[in-house]
Amino acid sequence: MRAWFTLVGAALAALLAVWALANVLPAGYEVIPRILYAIIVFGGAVGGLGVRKHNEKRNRTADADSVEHQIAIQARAGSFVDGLVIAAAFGLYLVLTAQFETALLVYGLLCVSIGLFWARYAILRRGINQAA
Amino acid sequence: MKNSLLALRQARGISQDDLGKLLGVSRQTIISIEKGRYAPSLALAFKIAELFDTSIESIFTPE
Repeated sequence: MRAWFTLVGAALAALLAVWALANVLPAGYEVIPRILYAIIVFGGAVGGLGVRKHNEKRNRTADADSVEHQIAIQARAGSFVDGLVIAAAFGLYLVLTAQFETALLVYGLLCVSIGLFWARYAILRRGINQAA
Repeated sequence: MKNSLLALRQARGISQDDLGKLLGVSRQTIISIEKGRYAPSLALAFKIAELFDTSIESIFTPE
């Protein structure tokens, strides 16, 4: 948790510093704060990933036998089904509001998602049968 | 699934965190197994049995 506080604190301090810099820079230099903001956001995302990996390694929560790893797999599977239901409902809403082109795109993406699931399933199943 | 992991661990005077370190899993995993809320994988069950120098069936019994 301390690592998260450090990361968020550093990001907030950096954002504040850039905001202060943006207020004192003369006209014509507006691009500098924008670049700095982008670097902070990108750095924050990379830092967040690093902190997560660090915590997983320290707490051994990413180990395949850990309960957290099994729960994460279950959560991922549940989220996938939730995503499909939400996409299908959104597609229905688009059809009802006569936005057929967007609805077609949504249902197309839905079909791709289901297709990807079956492709993964088939590859994994073949892998298990070949290994046996 | 019932198990005697808690008794085995306490008999050896090992903490949950230390047992987690020895097995390469989180402390929460040890807690969950001891409470019978999480059935470990076969590989982890073998590791536990090997660590306590006993057999899997003497630690884990089906309810």
